Amino acid sequence: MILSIVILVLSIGQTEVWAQQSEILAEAQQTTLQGYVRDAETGETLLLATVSIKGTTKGVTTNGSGYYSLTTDLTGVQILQARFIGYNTVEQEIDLDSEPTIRLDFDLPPENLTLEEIVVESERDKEALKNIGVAQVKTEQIKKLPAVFEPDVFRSVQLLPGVKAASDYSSGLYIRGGGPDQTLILLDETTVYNPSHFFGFFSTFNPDAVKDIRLFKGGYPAEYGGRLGSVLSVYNKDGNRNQRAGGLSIGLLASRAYIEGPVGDGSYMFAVRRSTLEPLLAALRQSIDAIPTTFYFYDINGKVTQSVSENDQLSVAFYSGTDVVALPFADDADIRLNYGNRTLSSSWKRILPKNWFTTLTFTGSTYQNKPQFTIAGTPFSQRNEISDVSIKFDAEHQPSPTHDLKMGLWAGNMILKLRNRFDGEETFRNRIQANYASVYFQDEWRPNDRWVARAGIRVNAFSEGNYIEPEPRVSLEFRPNASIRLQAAYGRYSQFLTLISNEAFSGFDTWLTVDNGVPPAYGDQWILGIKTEPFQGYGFDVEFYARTMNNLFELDPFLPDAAGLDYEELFRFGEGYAYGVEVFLERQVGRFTGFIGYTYGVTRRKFPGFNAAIGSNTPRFYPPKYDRTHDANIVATYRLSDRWTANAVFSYGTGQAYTEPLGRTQFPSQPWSNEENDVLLVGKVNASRLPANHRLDLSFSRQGRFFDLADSEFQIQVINAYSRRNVWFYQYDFDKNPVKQTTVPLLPILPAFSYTLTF
Amino acid sequence: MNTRTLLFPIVYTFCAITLWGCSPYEQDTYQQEYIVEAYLIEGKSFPDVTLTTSGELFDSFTLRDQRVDGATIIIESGDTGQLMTYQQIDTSGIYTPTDTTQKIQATATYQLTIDVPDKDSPIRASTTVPEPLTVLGGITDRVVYQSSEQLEILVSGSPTGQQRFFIFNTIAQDPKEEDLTPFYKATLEDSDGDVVLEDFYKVSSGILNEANFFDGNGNTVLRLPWLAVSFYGRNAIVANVLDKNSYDFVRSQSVQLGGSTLSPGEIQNVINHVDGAVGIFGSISSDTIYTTIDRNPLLEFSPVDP
Repeated sequence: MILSIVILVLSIGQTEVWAQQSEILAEAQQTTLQGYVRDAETGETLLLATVSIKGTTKGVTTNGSGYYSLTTDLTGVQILQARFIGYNTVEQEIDLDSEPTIRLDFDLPPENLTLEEIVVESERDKEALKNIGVAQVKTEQIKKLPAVFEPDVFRSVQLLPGVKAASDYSSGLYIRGGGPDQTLILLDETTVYNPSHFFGFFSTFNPDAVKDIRLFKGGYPAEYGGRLGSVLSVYNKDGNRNQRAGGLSIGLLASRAYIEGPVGDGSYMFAVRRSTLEPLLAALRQSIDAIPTTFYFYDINGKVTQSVSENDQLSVAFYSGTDVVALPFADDADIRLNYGNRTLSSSWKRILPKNWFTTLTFTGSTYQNKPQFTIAGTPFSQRNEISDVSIKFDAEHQPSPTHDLKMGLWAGNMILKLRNRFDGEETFRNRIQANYASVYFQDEWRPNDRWVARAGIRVNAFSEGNYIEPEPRVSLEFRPNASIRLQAAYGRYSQFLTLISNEAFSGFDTWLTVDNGVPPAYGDQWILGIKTEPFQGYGFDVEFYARTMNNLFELDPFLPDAAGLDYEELFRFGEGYAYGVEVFLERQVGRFTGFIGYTYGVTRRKFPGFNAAIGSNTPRFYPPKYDRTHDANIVATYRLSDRWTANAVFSYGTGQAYTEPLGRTQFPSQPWSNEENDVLLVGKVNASRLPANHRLDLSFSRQGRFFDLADSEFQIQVINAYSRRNVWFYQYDFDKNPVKQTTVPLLPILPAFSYTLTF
Repeated sequence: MNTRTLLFPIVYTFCAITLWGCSPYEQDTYQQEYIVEAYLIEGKSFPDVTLTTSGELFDSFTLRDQRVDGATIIIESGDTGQLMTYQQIDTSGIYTPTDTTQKIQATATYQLTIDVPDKDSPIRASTTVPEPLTVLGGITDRVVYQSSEQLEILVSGSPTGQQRFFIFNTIAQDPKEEDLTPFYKATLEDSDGDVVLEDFYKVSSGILNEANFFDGNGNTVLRLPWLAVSFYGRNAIVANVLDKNSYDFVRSQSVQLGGSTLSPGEIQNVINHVDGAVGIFGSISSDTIYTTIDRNPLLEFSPVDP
């Protein structure tokens, strides 16, 4: 921390010097090149594209808006190159002596690869992707990979090293030893609080609407904050600026449609997805009890973008998603569930003189969750609502060719409500209205071609409880040659929110915040990494990470009833740590592409009174259920012909942790019960392991035409191709003597198909 | 520097971390534990004490087989001066008090001491009996099931002002299968024999905090949830106030069976306040009323409408 503060102070102290240097350098023919990089066919901006001066090492990548700014002290006529994976490189000759600031937008035509063609991309093409802790998932890859019922953003992310799934039934992200609430989920810069459909089976993000997904697994930079672990930033498509286009996809579980096109001096995009299970449920109800009478989910995404001037771009984006279930599970007993998110964001991106790029964003996000049970005429209900309105201002500035500055602030107001009712009476009510604010400053310093240092600080404040959390972040990168990067990073992170969830079911997800007596959680992260290109067209990366987690606050699992309790009495406070190593080998070119990811990981938690030995009250660290010592994924795509593509995903993981009961007894004398009241005696919590979990998923897709009206894709897939009966958990039947253990399995073999039209 | 030059430190660091990560977190081996169960009820005689041992999970299990013979058991109270000795009257592991005339006193603290042959140290536990609970009014002789008029009972408040924890239980006085209320009837019919009628003779509400029942005028008005009614006809309605030991035991026992925020398979031992053994030495205060639950002629159950 001391190091980072020193670097930051030095950085800030140099700002004045940079300003003076900038003026001097400007006089010395310093030139700034700036603009957007776009897809030539659709006009979509391309994130993390590389822009460089040919024949030099001067290059930058586009930011989350597809914007680049490159300041150079070179002079004369030079060739500027723009490159992006999957696109042809575009070169533009430019006279650097003509103007001090040159606006140059690039439109990159997508590549049309032939089977035998091998495109070689340099490491520089993946400049930002090779930053420490960063990973990117391509939308096209999400759609091609075999997926249970529906292509899913989160399930594709789960294939990356360091990211784990709780089970086949969960799309929750468990990243580097953290739970789902330790990952900030952003959709067009707006927080999404429950990104799941279908009880957690799918994420809410419709792949038709998504342009790009960027994951910061750890050590994320100062421009982000609010979570202990990681950030997943999802960018919606802006829409096709050149022509109207659309698509329709019919699947087993849900169907999707989207349309996009030009409007004014910009574009629009509208995508909708809805479950289509009603006919199947209606058929099942004829023969099976306890089938939902109502069950659907939908999500709608929209975005309109307008270029007001050459330097100003406005956009409005929205998302709405809802899940509704009504399930009568017995006579006189039913469950009703209704939860969903809505987001709205509006941004103004502006290119300013003197190498400034600013973004002003207004965001609104709501989440509501309203489970209701009625059993034998006795109703239970809970209502959890979050309303989050904020304004964000981000600025990027290049004061000199060696410095990139980022700074910004984020301020908002959050209202969080939790209300429980039992048998017609309100039993718990809590409403927290809090103002929050964050401010950050970050400098990336490239003194030469070999070294990159980044230092930043973020300060988060939360009004309820008056908490202020400074968070220094620092990273260092050394490039001994063009194909090797050695990286190190440290950061402090804090979190004002906690999620009450269950790995088996996300439909009741409930968020709670800090308050008086409930201080924020915080932790440190250390990362060491090496990124290499051992052979042309291959990448080989290794990252080591270690994290601490302090003051973890979560709902006390032993609390039977919250009525009459003070807010802080709802929680238990604990600590944790995680460490591990991730290995990633990829091949992204040619007809055979894919990657192998392996993670060795350890994560532990400790809470007062929990996991104590019998006769003791001293807690011990224990692995949460999602602790997975070894985790490996192999993702392979083989283009069989111009029309046919085969995809395979093999995943292997150490069996999940569980608590093996050792002994049993009974307590039959309770005055209020005439049951035997079986009780288990257990040893260490989660010290046993289920059998190793592995599965092979296959898919084959065929490209074609639909009556010359639209492009079509027919996809056949087989999930769990060799029908491995992985274990979800064990159940114990005490009605049998001796106790009978039964296995609750995960997914069996599942064939599926989908048909997609794109016009 | 080339990639191969870096290979050694990478492999070395990887192995070091992997080995560091092999710190043992192995499952404990099974240890047989003494098991104690006893509940003092305010105003009643001293209770039986059950003393057994635990069994291995997958062994055949009966309490009788697990009984502990030859123990010396006493319950005493410094607050009241009472001293109760116990005797073993059969082979079920149940020890009974030698004097049934002495009554449990409210707010008194009682200590349980058990000396077991071949055990070095005695088993000890203590409990403080809750203040007495008295039904002050609101007793209704007849109530129509799932009508808008629920059974409400005005009970005495907590003299200390501290929140109390309740468990209701409803005890059917003449249980017959044809008198089962719809939910319990369906549960019995769908159970494939795992559930028997006797399971519903006595139905418990689970723990409910007193704050659920404050009526805004400083009174505690207990309202019987319909879920606690399993049979039409004559029922005894018992309101129990739990001491801390009982509260901790019941809430942690219910978490073992699921329904908490813990993940499936993440099981914790019950919260135990017995030294030298596992179990419960708890106390309650309770009061009982009787009422008749009549069928609701307007009630017809059908699946929930969409």
